[in-house]
Amino acid sequence: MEEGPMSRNESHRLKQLQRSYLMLRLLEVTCLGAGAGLVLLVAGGRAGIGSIDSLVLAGVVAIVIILQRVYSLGLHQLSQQRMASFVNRYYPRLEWSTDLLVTDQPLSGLQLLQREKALAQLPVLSSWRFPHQLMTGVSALVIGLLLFVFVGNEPPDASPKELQVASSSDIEVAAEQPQPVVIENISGAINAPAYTGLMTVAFKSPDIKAAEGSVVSWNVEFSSVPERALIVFSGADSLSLKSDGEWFLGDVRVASTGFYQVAWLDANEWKASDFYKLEVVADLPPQLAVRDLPQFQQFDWDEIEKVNVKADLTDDYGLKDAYLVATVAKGSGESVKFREEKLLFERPTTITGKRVSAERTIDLKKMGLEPGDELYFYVEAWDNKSPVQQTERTETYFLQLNDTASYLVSNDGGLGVDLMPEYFRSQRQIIIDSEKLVAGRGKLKRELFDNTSNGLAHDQKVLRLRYGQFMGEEFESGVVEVQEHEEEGPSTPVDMEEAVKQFGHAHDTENEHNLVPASKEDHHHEGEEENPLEAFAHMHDSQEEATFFIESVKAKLRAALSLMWDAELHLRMNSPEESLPYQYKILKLLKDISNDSRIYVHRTGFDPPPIKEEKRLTGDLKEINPARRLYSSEAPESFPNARKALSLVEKYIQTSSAIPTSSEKEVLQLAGSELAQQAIEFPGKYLESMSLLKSLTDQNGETSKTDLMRIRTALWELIPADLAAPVLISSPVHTLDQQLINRMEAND
Amino acid sequence: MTSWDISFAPLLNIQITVWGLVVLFVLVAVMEWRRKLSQRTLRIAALQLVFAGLTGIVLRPHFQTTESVSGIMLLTRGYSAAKADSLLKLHPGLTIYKAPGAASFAKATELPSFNSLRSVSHRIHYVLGEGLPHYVFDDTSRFRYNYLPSEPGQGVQSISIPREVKARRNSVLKGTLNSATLGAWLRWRGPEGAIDSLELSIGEQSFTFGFMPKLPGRFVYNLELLDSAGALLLSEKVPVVVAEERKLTVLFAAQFPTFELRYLKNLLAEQGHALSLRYQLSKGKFRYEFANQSDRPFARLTSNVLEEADLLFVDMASLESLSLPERNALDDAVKNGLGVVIGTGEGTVSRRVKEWMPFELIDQKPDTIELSIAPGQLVRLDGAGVSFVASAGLHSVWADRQGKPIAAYGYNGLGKVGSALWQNSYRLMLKGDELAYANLWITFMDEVARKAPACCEVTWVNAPPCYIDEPVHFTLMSALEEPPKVTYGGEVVPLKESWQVDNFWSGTVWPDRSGWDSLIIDGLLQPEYFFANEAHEWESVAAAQRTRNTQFAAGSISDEAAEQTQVVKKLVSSLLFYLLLLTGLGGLWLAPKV
Repeated sequence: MEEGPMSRNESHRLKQLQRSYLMLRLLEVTCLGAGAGLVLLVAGGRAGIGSIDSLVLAGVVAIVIILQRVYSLGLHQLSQQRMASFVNRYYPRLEWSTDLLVTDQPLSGLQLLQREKALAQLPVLSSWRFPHQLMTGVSALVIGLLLFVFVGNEPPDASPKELQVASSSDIEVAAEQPQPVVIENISGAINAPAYTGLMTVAFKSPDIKAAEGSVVSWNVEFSSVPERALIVFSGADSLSLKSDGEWFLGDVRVASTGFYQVAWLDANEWKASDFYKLEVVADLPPQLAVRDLPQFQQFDWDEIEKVNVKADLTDDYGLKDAYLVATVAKGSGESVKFREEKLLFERPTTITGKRVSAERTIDLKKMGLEPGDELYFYVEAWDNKSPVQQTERTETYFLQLNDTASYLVSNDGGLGVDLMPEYFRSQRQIIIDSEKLVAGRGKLKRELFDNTSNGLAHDQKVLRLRYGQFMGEEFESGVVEVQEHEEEGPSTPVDMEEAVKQFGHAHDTENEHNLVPASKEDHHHEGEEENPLEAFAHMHDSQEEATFFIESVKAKLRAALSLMWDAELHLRMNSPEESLPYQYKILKLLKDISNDSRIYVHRTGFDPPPIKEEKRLTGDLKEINPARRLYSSEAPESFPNARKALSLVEKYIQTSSAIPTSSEKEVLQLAGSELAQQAIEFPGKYLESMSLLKSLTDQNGETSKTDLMRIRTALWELIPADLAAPVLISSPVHTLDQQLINRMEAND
Repeated sequence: MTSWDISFAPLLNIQITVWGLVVLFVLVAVMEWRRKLSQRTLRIAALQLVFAGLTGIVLRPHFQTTESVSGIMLLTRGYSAAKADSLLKLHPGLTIYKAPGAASFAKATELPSFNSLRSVSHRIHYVLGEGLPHYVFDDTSRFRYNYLPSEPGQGVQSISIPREVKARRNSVLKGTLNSATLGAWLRWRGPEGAIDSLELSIGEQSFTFGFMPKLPGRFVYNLELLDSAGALLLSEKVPVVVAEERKLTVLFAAQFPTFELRYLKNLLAEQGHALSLRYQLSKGKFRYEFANQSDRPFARLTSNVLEEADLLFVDMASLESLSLPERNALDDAVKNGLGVVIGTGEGTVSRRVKEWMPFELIDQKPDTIELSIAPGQLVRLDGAGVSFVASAGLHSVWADRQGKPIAAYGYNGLGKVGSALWQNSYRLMLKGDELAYANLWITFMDEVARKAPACCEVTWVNAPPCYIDEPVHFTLMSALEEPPKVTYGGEVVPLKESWQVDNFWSGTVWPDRSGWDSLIIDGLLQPEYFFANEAHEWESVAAAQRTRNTQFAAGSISDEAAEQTQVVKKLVSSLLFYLLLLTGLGGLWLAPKV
């Protein structure tokens, strides 16, 4: 009985020791497991593994470590015997007798004695020190906690919109296993054309806005070096980037707005970045505006004044030149003459800068305007675009001097409508003017006479050039313009030819002489006896001659043109009297040619096949088969995939999850291609939606409802608003309907 | 007065229960009898008590009695407490019930749901507040009460979503709204973004928003309420089903081609409709055009040709020149549903044709026609020099500004024969007003063309919005001999046929999830879609509907009726049977075991 309480006490003491040891070891193991788990959690998160996956991984590893340690330390089967054995090993003073304290077996005398000794030692061992690695466990836990708190398990955001440099700890972790290549940085510079005066600008955001013609240089940094890298413009052209060790470089001259992606080859798989905007700001032509001047203005002779022209000229990058182009129109009817002049601005004399207010005073009298004359002008400006300058001109402004002495001339021959253009002088008019000039010899000043004669020579030349077109190049190429019109302005021979082309009408050549009265046709020079037409007399009855009909017209034309040279020559020499006989001959020839042409036209009319008289008016239609036309003109549906994708996106909006299936992904990708076509034209409108659509297709994170609604709006806008179409409407016919109709019919 | 008519409400099948108990009792009694113990009779008696108690517990016997019951004052959401107090002063004996969502009231018994009203509906004398949902009135023939509605609430009070929305056509959403805030906005938003908005004034007002879906499908538009600063206060879903488009088969029979036919033909051909055109070259000789279909010339208008067509354009001269068999075939085809558009303007009309046409035309001086094809869009067209004679059978599709029909039709059997009294409408196309041109013709063609036969047609009885866990009623008109089969969520929906009209069925489904849902009907190509809202959506409309429904079903009942008697079945207290069971078991336990 004496041993009983003592034994229980010591047994209790041993149990306490056992619990302490167990707690110590469990604490150590738990700290170790938790520390390792936290380190793994942080590493997994930084390596881009999902947060849930990292947590599961860390938890599993922690549990494995804990279990392994528990088993290796034998904590799962820690009994009093094991505890006694353990105490024996670590406390030799107990003389391997602790077992005797916990045994239930009857003890021998010696054993009892030894037990008493051990019991006596127990209190002496006041401070029990068990072996442990608690510090290691706590250290692991502290490290894990520090990593978790200061590094965190958020994955590095590799989205190109907000590029971040990966931390060194992530790289260390990621270096252990092959990581997919991602873009870390896109930067570069925009080098605008020199004429714009814009500075070279560095960009750090991948969305680029550059002036037209700028050279854009890209520097793309990847997390590791890919096999190849490209920049794909608007889904079509691509630019291969050159590797410069760490960076991939490339530059291109941008000409049109669109979008681009960076694509790279990683592990034999092409990957592409998000879509980035490439907005090209076009160089606009100069903007011109004439201030405080009505477009049509009339003056009386006595109130003629100077007209002040104020023009506001602007350009986005700078103006290079600007001036007024004035055209003076003199005369009326068919004797209109034009003279074009280039008038420089008076203030400022040199046009430069982005915004210029220029002025020029036009003195109508100095411009030689007379009553009835008109001055047309417009402002033309050039910008500094290189290599090809851009030009812009204003509307034409009209200044007119009223002619109080004007009268109307009506055509005889019963023509109610004057078909002739007023600015083209016919041979008849040249004759009339020449006759008038001859009549005025002696009355007119020599200088005026000569000028008028020279002017008539010019008109004769214009007429010759017009008819020369009918004769082919040999006659036109023979024309060598001389500087006889120096007084009319700085017109060049090229200008003159263009003026002829501009002011002449092809149909005039056929019909103008029809307007000549018959009485005038016979008017010819007395001395003219030789009839050049005799050789080409009308011999219609001769079939052989008819085959030469075209030749005869050519010959007449050739003769007329030859005469025109002579007529012009004498007019140039200020002797219209000598020119007139040639002019009469020309008139007669042209009249003949006109008439011959009509005959020609008549002869080349439709020649119907001969009619079979035996079938005529019999009404036999047996051989006539019904005409059939079979066609399919249904317009192909525009943006078919965008239409399908719209339904899908609408479904995603209404359901909580937006996880497309593989077939749906295919539709969304095709819809993205259709969207891309429009994004080239309107990148600001569709680019964001394209990115969102790509994100939805790639399942890069969860697409929010707001983003889905943006995609929906873009797809909706993409689909054109077609015209309404009639549709077949379904409706059941109930027996009551049928009965009602039957009853109504019976009543009818 | 109490009657001893006993009835049971067994927990299990009564026959199985009774027979099981009898057999069990016999077995136990025999076993007990055989036990060689004293007090055998006492033990058998105790056993009987045990089984009597057990039987009572399982069979739950009721007895019938008469008791006086008080009327019920039902308080629904938004009720006036002052009115409730006043009623209680007048009728202190009223029992107070509180519907789900209503504010608490002293001594009010809370109803777990509106469905539990059925057992007490005949006792309801007063309903206060916003009222009761529609499904409460489904089976309440004895439901009569006085209704004291609450003040009208704020927000949208009613909404009318167009039933048939067609792609690329103007549709209109209408509704009424009660606003207490000046400067608030109502915004109409669709897939394309914000479509329209309306600045609200104080008080009740109506609103109309137009929209034009671009393609068929199911879309959810939104009606949004914004404050004066533009902040979004509320956004409600408006489901829109845009009908699938089915192409028409159109026949043209004309003496000669005209610009009018040419432009109309081109428009329809580009849209993919199957067209067959026939112009007469000479007697019995025709020129044919076939667009979007195979080459099938038709020198004569036979029944086969006409049966395949949905619409026939025929000019007056061609109509006149039809042979007797052709006329008969045409008449039969129209009676069976074919639509015919008769061109006007050429030639005189014979008496025979006049009699055939279901409307009458009279000559008038040709003039310019002005008609409004859309709000604010006036169109001027050349008149054909004829006008319709007003009659009951004339259905106007387009009318001029004076209301005179310009394009109209009349029925001939199941089919329609119509005519448009304009000429040279293709000039609208030349002017670039293609939308007006298409709208003009397409609307008219829609009305006149044949209706495709369908097996049945579903009509939703409930006004929108529908809610989850609430019944959605529908009716179904069938053209089939056999009963239609309607499936919802994989289960066949039981249908009830009208006792008045054959093949007129009704059914009910209970949507259990929000969003688009559908009925599958055997024989219909497309499912019949409806949209179920969450309980918190469209609260103001639902409240206004409840008020209207409750007001509609309310009837005046006398105050004396507030106190009445009723025959009730009362459950015999289970305690009695438990005591019997306890006594019996106690007897068996305490009985001497020797």
